[in-house]
Amino acid sequence: MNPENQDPKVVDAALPRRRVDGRFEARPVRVRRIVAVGGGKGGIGKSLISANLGIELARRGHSVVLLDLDLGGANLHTCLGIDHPKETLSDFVERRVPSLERLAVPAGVPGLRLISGSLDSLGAANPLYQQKLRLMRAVNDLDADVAILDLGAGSHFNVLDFFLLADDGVVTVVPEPTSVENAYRFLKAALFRRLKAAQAVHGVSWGIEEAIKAGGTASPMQLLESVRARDAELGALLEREMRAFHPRILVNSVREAADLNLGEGICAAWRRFFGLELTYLGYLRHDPDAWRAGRARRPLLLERQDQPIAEDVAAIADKLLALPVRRES
Amino acid sequence: MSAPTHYEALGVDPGANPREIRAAFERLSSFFDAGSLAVYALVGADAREEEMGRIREAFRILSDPDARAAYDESLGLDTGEIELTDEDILSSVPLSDASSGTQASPPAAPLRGAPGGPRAEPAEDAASEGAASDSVVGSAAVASTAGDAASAASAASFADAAPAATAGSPSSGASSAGAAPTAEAASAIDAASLVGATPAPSAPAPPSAIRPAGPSAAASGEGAAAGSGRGTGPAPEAVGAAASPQGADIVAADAGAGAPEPEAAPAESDASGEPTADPLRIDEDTEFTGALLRALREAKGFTLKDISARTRIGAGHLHNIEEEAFDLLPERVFLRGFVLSYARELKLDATRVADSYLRRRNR
Repeated sequence: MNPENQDPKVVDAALPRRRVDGRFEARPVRVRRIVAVGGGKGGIGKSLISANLGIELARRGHSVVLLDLDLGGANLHTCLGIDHPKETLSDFVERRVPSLERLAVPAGVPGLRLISGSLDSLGAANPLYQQKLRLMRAVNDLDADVAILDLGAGSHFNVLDFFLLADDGVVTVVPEPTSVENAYRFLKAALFRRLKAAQAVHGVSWGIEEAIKAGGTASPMQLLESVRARDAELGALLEREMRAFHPRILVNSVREAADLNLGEGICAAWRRFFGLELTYLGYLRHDPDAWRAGRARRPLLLERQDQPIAEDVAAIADKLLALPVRRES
Repeated sequence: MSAPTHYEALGVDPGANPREIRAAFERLSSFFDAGSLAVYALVGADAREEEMGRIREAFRILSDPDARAAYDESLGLDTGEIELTDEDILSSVPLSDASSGTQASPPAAPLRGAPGGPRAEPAEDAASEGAASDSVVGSAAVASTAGDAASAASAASFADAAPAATAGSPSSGASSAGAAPTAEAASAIDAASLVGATPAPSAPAPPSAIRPAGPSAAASGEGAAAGSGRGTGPAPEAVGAAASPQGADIVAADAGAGAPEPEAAPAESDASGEPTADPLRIDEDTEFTGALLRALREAKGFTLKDISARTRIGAGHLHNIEEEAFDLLPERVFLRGFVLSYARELKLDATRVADSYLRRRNR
């Protein structure tokens, strides 16, 4: 019944063997699909969406791990209505706990687990580079069908790196100018972060950063042209990276009919002006009782399964699961 | 980048009818007008206004029958009248709505309404589309009997909801390598993404829409093919032309997207014989040659005339595209438009196909 379970997309045998606590596992484990929920602006429902999407997917029989990566202001546990777990990501980052799996606690629905962000350590909000790499590898190795990363607000590069790690980088937007502005800023920042990372491997002296400095407000394609003019090989590399950058967008708090087209409009604009891909995942209707469910510390989807918002979450889950997972080796 | 054609500016096929053109214009205007939230802080006022100018100009030309005919001629398009009877419109619209009602996905349809709406098609084309899906409806039946009704439904709802959204690249290498020829969950989903990749703002009308009713339905594929006036039955063609798994996925998408109603699929699968065995394979590295386009077209049971009628690209041009007779084909910018439209009719990722195909021309 569950397409993900029979899914031959990720061939286990092809993956490297994995070491857990210093020992090789007989069968390598790797998370099948990583979803990151970001969006630049705070207070647009990233945590609520992560929690409810996690519940929906777990209900469909997927094993789901929610990661609260809002390291400075983790509160996904509150959205799920559970107590703050004793051990958090900072215990993993600072090596007090050897594996991420040990941090995962049941989150109220069979098949759903939560790994909480840290509330305690000041330094954990911005882990060191090596710590971050280790954390990213560990996320990749989680034993789950779906990992959902609830990202913090803003376009800090640590946030962007986890966004780019995901198979489905979901940008959340609400129908307000500030949110749309931040969403575009977030998308551009993520794109350039990706290009810079690819370029770093390539090793160049004049690349995308220099093009940005020289080009001012030029569009990504114009920047690409100016790089290509100087270095055709790098241009080709960056073009491949641009085409492979394929985020998703989700509109939250839709109140009126005019808002229904916002997601498609953003995709159309992104495509037309930047020549880049963006997939519209769907929208969530504004729910005046969302805050009430939050205050009762009960996730919306558990509390009110008959509400329109439950349909919206289900539609988004359908669409998400239908998207192919593409793994770069 | 070359200037887009008026059709590209509005994101419609050259075969679009006046209603579709107006709908596309209104939709794009709502996205790109000065007060639109969708373009807030994305680009400068100049760039936005320039784009709106392009869209207005495209609409001005394409909404005027005389101007459009002259423009079509300059593009080298067939300038024949677009025939669309009221009956076609009536028959395709309600059926599409009905099919979305049968989906397992939540009944969000009313609020979620896809802009552009279902696309009305000439009966002949729709019938041939029905025939094409009949030839492979067996594989869809495999999926549903394997207990994957849910995945078929989600594929269907995805295709339905996808008009403007672009799916990922048409197929991931891993998935196409791993997919078995039978339409299992993964392939149905991949195939759905191919459907979703079609940028045309209209969801394909369900193949079942104009399927012959009554006794002829039992005759299935051949019956429908005969009804559409074509001699060759689509099923043998598909088997013959198809060579590897992914082709089945593509066609299965049509069947899956169009046939969520369980009673239709099994009945027809009996008559249509074995599911497509060795379909065409498409992965990330696939080069879209003229020969591949032809094979994909034939696998779907389309004749050149079918494609020509829908895209209004002359059958001669289409033939030359398949032959890669680049000397006989028009300028690059027009050729690109042709290939985009052609690829869309085959439910392929049009941009990717056009890029790949035009690279061959440059060699």
